[in-house]
Amino acid sequence: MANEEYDAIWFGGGASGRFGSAFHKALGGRPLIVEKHGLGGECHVCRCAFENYVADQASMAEMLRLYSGLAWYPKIDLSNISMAKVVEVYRNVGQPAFHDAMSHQSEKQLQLEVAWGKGVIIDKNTVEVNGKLYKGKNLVIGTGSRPTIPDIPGTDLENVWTYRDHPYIEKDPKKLVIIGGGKIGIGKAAMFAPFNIDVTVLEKYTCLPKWDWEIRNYIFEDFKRRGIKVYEGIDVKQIKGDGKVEAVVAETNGDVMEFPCDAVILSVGLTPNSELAVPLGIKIGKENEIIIDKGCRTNVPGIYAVGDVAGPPYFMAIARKRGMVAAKNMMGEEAVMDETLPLPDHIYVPPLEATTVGLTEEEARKQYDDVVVIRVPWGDRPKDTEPLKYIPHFENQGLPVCGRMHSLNLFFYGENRNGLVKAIVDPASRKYVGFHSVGDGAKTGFQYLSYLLKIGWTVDQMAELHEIFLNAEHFVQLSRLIAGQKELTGYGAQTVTEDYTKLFPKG
Amino acid sequence: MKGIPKPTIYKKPYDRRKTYENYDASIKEYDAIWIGGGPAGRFGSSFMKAMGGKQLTIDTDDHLGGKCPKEGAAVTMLYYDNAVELDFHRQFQGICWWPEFNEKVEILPIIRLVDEGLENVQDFMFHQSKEEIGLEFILNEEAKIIDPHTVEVNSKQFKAKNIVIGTGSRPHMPDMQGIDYYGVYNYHTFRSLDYEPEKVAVIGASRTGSLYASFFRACGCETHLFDKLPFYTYLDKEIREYVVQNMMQRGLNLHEEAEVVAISGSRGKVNTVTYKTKEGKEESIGADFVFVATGAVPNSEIAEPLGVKIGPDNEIVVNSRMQTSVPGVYAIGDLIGKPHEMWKARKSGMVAAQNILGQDKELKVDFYPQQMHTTYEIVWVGDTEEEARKKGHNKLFIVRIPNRNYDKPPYPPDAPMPLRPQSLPIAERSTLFAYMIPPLSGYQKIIYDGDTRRILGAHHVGYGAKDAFQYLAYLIEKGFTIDELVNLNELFLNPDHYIQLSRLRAGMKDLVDLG
Repeated sequence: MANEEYDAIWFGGGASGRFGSAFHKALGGRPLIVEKHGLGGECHVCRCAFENYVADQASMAEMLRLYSGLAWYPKIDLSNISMAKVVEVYRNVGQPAFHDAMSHQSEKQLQLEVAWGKGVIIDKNTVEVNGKLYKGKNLVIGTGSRPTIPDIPGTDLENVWTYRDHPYIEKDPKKLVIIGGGKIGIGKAAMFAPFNIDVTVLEKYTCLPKWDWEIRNYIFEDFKRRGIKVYEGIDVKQIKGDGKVEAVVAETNGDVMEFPCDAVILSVGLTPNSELAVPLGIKIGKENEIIIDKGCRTNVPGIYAVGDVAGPPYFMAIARKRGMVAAKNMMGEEAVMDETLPLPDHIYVPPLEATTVGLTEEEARKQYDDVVVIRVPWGDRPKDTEPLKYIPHFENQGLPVCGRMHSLNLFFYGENRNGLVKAIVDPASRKYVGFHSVGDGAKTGFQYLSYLLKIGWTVDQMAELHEIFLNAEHFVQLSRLIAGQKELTGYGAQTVTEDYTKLFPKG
Repeated sequence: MKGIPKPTIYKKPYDRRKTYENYDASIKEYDAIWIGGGPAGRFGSSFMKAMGGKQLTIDTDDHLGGKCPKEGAAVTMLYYDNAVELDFHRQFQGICWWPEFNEKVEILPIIRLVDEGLENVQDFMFHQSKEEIGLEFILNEEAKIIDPHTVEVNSKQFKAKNIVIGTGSRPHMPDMQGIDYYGVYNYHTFRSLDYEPEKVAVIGASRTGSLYASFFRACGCETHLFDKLPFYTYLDKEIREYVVQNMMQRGLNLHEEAEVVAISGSRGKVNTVTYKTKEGKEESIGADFVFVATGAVPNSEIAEPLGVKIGPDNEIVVNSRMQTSVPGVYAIGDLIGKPHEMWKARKSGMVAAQNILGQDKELKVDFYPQQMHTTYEIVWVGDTEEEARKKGHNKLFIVRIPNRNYDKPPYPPDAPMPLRPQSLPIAERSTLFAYMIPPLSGYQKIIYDGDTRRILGAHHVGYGAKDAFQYLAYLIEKGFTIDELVNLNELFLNPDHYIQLSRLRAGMKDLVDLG
């Protein structure tokens, strides 16, 4: 078998390896995937697909709690619902179903060849799997990433988890501390809370630092209302416990605080699995990532790296597209990663979902003389309103309406639970510079808005589109209402109310 | 860096029972008087105002925004949303943490919810129009057209260079025995419902009819949906089959090509619906509630004294610049006929404003994304597979999910659902289906011309994809290819899997369908 030569051996059949080899095959090449677990990588085991499922369950549970006893909703006792039960269904049904689907699509439909087993890289043209040698003209490393374990005492205690442990939880914690307030940590906080779990997030710097201030504000206001505690500027020193976790010790402004808990989730980042590349003489960067050029080539000719192992952005589309770019280059089509296409991002914050692309308002105000913000809602909302109570002449309460938020906003007038959308425009060029949304159902549009940003989309072009009403993000119609302005000034009285620098208690 | 502006909080009330006037009395002549402040009139007036034109907008109703926040889109979407919630409760009961749920639920509380909620959306529109956009308008008053430049309101005359009429449409009621019985409703009268229906007949599998029928069924009513034509022939065949099959799976009784010929009852209250089957047989079902959804009729009567040309469907005939047969008189929105789409209403207003103020603009209605609702959201744009073949694209490249071969061996037909790899598509709201009842998780399809590699059409059954179609429609119209699509950044897990599903195949120089 060793004399049979593949165009490339794709070491790792995760998002980047699977998509890359599929593209490679489609281009007419002969790829071989080496994979020890299942195709599709961690996505459907414990990452994107799994999180999507848990977020959906958490959303439904949170909504049901809100709606219980209202209109037709029965009085529902959610005191016994359990995250462990939710993930059990995923383990029993989701993981195998997804595994099958990936295998069916890759091996049957796309006819990709897979060498199953733990591979050993002998040299850059030779990989051994189960004692068998495979030869390839090129080697593509796509071994992904793993959760970063912070260098503090106690991370080996029982019930100290990472995202990898989430699908295998057997008993719900009562008090959960999440270390790290990035995309994963904040998402997990919103997912665990609906299951009657007391959640605290500890973040050393700033939570979701790259997000628009108003979107962050919205998410954390919602957290406050739901009793999810968030601390910023707090440094975790130790996880305490006798065999099993009992508390997290952290320091802020010289004060030591202790957070009792029975479980901890570490979400301080990802570390690329680049160790296997070291013996090949491949250059490794500061974050343990394999260093690649825009064409996904490493410093060693004939070796490519794709996906998370090649460093940030740790993002599904980037992983898959790196695979595609590597495949093209191996087949002699000069290709590079398109860095002019703004990268959208999203986060699950059940029952909501937030999405962003382009500049935040802060960034835009720094970059441009003036900025027009198209936003719904605006202005203050009454505090402490009661559900199902209409507040006369409070004009903001109904919007935005979208997706599953439609019922929500009618049930909870003024509770500000139905979302916030904003588009940011440079009035001089009339071009959009950023789009942001928190709500439901807008994510899908942002994939295309990202492209429109790239081509210099203007309010005048937006006004010409055909909206599908009721749309989740309202951008087409909100833009059309002001697009007639020769000198773009935006809406007459767009206002905001909170100072974003004062959102969190420091410690 | 400029500071973030400080808030100004709007609290100003207006009395909905009285005439509300908000205009500058010193204006002697407007660029246009807009009769009707619905989506067409409100957006048109706003565009005119933004362009620096002088407008006055008059509506007989107590709010701006027209039918939408009264009985149109904003209202039906609430019924749809409730239908989905109810459907989930029925489908998922007993799984995971979901409670048992098989009761019939009351419809009246949901209508009350709408009643309360509407004022809220209307208030928003009032505020946005008045404070944010600076529109001039009169509410709760009838506008009487004196001549093409004069409108009388409450015996006061207003002059304008142009008149733009946007008085919308009303539900069409077929001429049928029993149509005036107590118990016969349409989208306009539905809010006055005062009892709980048990057995429902919906006449017309229109978008309105299909949505309401799905809602009634989700509430636990025995529901029959009739149409004298086959259902949803405008949908892609596979999509149609999926949609219809799922409606039936939910227990809806579908009567295709069955024309309702009579409604009968006792003491003026409906109890029976009689229809003619496809085979020409006359049959009856018991029904204590009839919902008529056979379309809408333009309210063109107001324009008759002007002598404008009226079309066969009672619509005002306009050219692509929204001009009627009478110079200086424009018509917009549902009033000018099909398609009765929100974007068309709003854009027709915009086009009228642009033409009045000297910009030569035309309204194009030939390519746009569309939607309908059952307990799913169904969105599509461009060609169906059948249309594409008919147009002579002889080499189609189709990407669909679930894959049609999923049910075939090695998965025996009687294998337990979760063992079949049908979990795709998967996305917000269909995720739970994907894991718990996979065949219900939706259907997606994108069609390419295999030679030019251009997208011809995209079709989606599921949730959360319609935002994409607004932009996808533009890209498809511009000739976007599979190679361009696969370069986009998907937001995984995205409700529309087109980018990644296409990317898996797009390397092929010769796009060959893999089944």
